[in-house]
Amino acid sequence: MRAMGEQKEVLKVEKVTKKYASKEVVKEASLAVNEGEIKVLIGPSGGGKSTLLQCINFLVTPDKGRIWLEGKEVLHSQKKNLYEYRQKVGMIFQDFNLFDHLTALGNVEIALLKVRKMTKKDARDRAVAELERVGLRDHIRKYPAQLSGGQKQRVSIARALAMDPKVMLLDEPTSALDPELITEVHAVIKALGAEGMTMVMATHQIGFASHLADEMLFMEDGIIVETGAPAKLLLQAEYARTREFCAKLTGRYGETR
Amino acid sequence: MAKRILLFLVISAAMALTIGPAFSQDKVYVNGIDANFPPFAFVDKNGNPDGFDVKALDWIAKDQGFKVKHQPMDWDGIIPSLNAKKIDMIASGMSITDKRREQVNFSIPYYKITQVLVALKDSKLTVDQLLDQGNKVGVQRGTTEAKWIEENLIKKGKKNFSLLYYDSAPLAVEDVVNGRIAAAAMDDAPAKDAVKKKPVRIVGTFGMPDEDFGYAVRKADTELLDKINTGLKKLMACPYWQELKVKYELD
Amino acid sequence: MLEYLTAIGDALPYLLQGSLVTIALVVGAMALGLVIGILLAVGLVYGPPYIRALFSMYVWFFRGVPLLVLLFLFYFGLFTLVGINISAFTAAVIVLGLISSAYQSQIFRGGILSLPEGQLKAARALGMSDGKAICSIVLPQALRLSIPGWSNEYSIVLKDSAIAYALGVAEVMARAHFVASRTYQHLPLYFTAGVIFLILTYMGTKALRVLEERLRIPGYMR
Repeated sequence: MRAMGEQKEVLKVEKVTKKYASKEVVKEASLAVNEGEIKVLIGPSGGGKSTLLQCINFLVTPDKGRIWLEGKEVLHSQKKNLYEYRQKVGMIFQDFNLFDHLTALGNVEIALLKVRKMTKKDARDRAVAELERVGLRDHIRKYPAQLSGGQKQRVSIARALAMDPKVMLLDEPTSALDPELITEVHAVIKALGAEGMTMVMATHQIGFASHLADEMLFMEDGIIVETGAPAKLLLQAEYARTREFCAKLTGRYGETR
Repeated sequence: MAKRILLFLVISAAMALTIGPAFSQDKVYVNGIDANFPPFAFVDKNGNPDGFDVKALDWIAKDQGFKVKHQPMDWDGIIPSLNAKKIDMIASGMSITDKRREQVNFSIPYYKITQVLVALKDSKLTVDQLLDQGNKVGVQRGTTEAKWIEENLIKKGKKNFSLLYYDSAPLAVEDVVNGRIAAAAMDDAPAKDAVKKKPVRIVGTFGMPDEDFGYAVRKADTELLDKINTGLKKLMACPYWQELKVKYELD
Repeated sequence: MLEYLTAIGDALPYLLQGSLVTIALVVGAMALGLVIGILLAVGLVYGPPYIRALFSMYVWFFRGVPLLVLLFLFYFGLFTLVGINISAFTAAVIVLGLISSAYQSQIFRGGILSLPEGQLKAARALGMSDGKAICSIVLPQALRLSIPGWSNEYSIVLKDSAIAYALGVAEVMARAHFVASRTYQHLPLYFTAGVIFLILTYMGTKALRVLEERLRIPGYMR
């Protein structure tokens, strides 16, 4: 647990709802994240975790709900406002979504050049620094197809970090990885947490998440069912549904790491 | 690299589109010719327009003090091209007809042309036999002979033969040689040219009245027509006219 | 045989000059088709419904009307009506280009649609506008994937360009025709024209193959 000082609210999500056809995939989901906090979304697949995360930076447009970043409401229908907001919210995808035609360096550089309008030299220096930070100094010239899954995900983290995000959204960052590659990505995320990065992460890696999270949110059928400290949620959940899910998970994955 | 290629392509598109309208300031009249109509109009070995009409018009232009350039084009679209101002005149063995007079103005006539049938050299058939027995006869599309045969021999005369249309008279001759058609109907001057180059003979005329060739201009261009007429009269009175006829074997 | 060879030899320089006209026609038309084709493809994939409907109609029109009809329509009709006097060459480039743009748009559209959706998402997540995302992320990839289809389109436009002779553009086919009318050597001349087209097809597709290889993304298989 980190020190409780004055709490600065970085991200606030209020009653976000998303419907596909008639099915509500996310129902009135609300959450608030303070600076340096790490919140972890758990719950069964198809429970709406990924949609909620994508709603938060409007990759999926929510039908209802409001979102604030650092106390300012995001007006997503105003393009400029939306683009500025997205720059401050780093997004990590399950399947990396690296730009296949660009090298690792190019992937990190491109938004610095095209969005932040940095000079070539500044962008390069920054990109190299970020790639170094995730341990890929020797791979900056490689294309995504030449990298392992773990390395790809680290590039995507470097790509997000280069934009100086206020908060990072991680959508199951390791679930597309072979088991032996998960550790290297976890190490990077852990290091970010230690540096005080504010994060919201969806994951099935309960063991890893329980050590990292300040708070866990159990989400099922589009509803955030229950919220609490990891120990409480995993061992003494209020709701039966939560208990059932956690029992299955801890049974399957064990309390490793 | 990809960007440079893209840029190159964009620039070349822009260039291709601007090359066209880049005309010189000096007004140069454009004479549309059917380059498939020797000896009146054709392109020589080096690709330059040549022929009786080309040389005659060059002389007239020089005499009357205007500049002219010869533009080979498709015979089918040559009158639309004139009226769409793609070209300014047609000096290319064009027969003067009433129908055409509705669309363009003609100069004074300068050459009398007879339409003939061309068949294989060793063919024994007469004109009447060629235009009968279900034979096939070739003709250049868009010509006066094509129109005359349709109206007078097929519609009214009910002759038993079918008409095939070609892009040019030489192509029709080619098919005579190939044996695909029995005869080709065409002007006598190009027919004589064909006889020299292919194993064919001129069988004879087929009843179509003789026609006069004239140079065509747009109806509005009366000044140009005057110049052409004045020049043409002068040319026909001078020895060069005869020289041209000899050179292009029109006698 | 000797007669044929002499005929070909005599006409060859003139025909080869014509191949430059053919190349200019094709490069101009392909380039025009590329620029418009990209715009069409982007509009067809990402545009609002009315843009998609409009662009679909454009594609339908230029794919549906025969080339020769369009050539005459534009050359004698449209451009004359609006009072623009363009050369036969320019008219041929424009018409071939517009037709090709309709076909190219479908090639590029296929390229765009074959990209994973996540590419655009990731670009947006970085704060890129859709325009920027399309220009720097989607198109560089989609165009690479389109090269084989584009190479096919090149050989089609090349062959279609022969019809420009109907407007009097002195490209290879028109020249073969002119010389044959003078010399009555139709067979060897059309044969030569055919060979020139074959060589141009070969050179163009070869060049595009080299381009495809050079632009290939290392390690990337498809």
